[in-house]
Amino acid sequence: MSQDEQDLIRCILDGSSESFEQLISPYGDRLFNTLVHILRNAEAAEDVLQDALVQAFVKLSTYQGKSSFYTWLYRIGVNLAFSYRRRERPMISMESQKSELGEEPVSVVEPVDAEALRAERAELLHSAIGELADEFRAVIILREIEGCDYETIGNILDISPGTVRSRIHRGRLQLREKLIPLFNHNSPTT
Amino acid sequence: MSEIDEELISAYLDQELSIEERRMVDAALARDPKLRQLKEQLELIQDDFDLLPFYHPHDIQRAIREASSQTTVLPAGSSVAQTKSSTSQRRRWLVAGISLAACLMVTVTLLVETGNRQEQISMTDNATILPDDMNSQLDQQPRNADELAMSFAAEGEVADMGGAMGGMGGGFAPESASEDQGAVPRAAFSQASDAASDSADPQVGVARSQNLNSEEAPAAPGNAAIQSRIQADQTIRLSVTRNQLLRLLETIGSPRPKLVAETSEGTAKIPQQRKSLNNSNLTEPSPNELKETIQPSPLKVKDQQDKRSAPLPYAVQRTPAELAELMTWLRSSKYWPNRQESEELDYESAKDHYTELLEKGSRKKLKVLFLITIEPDHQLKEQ
Repeated sequence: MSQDEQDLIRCILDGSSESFEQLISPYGDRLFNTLVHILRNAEAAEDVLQDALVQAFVKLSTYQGKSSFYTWLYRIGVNLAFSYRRRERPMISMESQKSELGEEPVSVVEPVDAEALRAERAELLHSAIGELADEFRAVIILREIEGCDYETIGNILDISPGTVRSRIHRGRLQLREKLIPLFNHNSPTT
Repeated sequence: MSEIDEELISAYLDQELSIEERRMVDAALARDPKLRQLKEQLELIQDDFDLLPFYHPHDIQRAIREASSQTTVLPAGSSVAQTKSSTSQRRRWLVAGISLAACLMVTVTLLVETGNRQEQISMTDNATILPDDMNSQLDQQPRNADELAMSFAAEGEVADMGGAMGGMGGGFAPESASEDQGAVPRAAFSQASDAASDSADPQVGVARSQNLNSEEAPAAPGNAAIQSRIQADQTIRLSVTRNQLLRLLETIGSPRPKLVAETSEGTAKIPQQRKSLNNSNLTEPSPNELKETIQPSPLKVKDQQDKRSAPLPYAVQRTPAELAELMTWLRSSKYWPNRQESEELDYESAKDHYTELLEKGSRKKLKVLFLITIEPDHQLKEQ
């Protein structure tokens, strides 16, 4: 944990709620993005993010600095996301998600058909991730989208790096099984 | 079959291998075309993650401000969150409400009577408090076994039992506990099973409890209905002060209690006599901890004390060994009436006695019904 974060946490515990904004700001957007991919629903991710922030604030005094604040915050967020998923199944359909998630970024440089294919691949990947079991989805998202190393993933999910490695590989094999046949049919880049 | 563990390919792509492991994988890739294909396919999927959009919340700053403005940072060591918006926080308040209900019921002296009924009725391992108005419902509306069993079942740590507990002395949960629930919860203390030790002479217990029953326990038609429906193998009458009740419930509600001798001179741990107990992780909250999280309304406490309501039914299922240990503990605790005059009891004898009771049926556990009378604090002091 950086000195700045330590100072901010001290200020918050002393009663400065404004410092909480500074503490969370570097991570809020990223955490939300991760939550959207876990939940596949932006509105649900907003709710879970809000709950995660509340919990982080309320329980800040229990944070002991053994892991980074980022890891601690993500642990709260990811756990809440999976709790939410367990409560709210069945998840909404991909069609309704598209309206929830909004339009994806559009490139003005590439041809429309190439962009359409990329969007299709992204959607296939997004769908395949959604079909993964929670234990695989979590490690895959934290690794591929959040860019966490195995140790950090292990700290967030409270599992060993060896388990992280195993789950990542099994998750990837499941994605390969779902996606490679589809990619081979209409790949814009291969 | 690959010459290396395929997991190494993923770790290779993630830069999570040591130099030596990377060399090994490089060599394997050079020799094995299937491994190369796997690596290329996984790389392809990895690359596609870059196609996924990055999502932004509508207003992260507002979300942060709301989080910090609607809640309070808990002091270190505190266990109850002070927020209105989190589901988990609401659940904690529910637990706190139940604990408060327990705190408000209070006071001990008790007694044991054995029954031996054969009516089939299923009970869970969960200990359950039935409120007074539930008693009257039982009187007015006979239930079948399944319905009654349902009333005893608890989901997870707390069963949602509507507003029934509110009927006991005017409601025992803090205002905020009922805020999100719509009603004050009634309690169920969920426990699994194991454990026991020490001594107890059930016969002595029966005699004492009968005396106590006639002198102290008020008649409660609702309880008679409960007893007849539960068909308890063992009914134990207790009366406690509200300050003692939670600790008592923690003990009798757990099949693996952390038994502490509670005497007027202080507390001392009773030596654990069974290995299973040594593995118990159960801990009792200290009275101070409870005071930190539960602040009963003085008016409601007074109301409850003045009412001296009918006994509170509390049902559990225990193996003969568990019950023998519990009875032994009760005999040596300050809750036991005329404790100083009571004889030393033998755990094995008690266990044998309860085993005999069980052998008359085909069950593995005895149905135990505690009827706990709430006594005013001053009566305890007089004792």
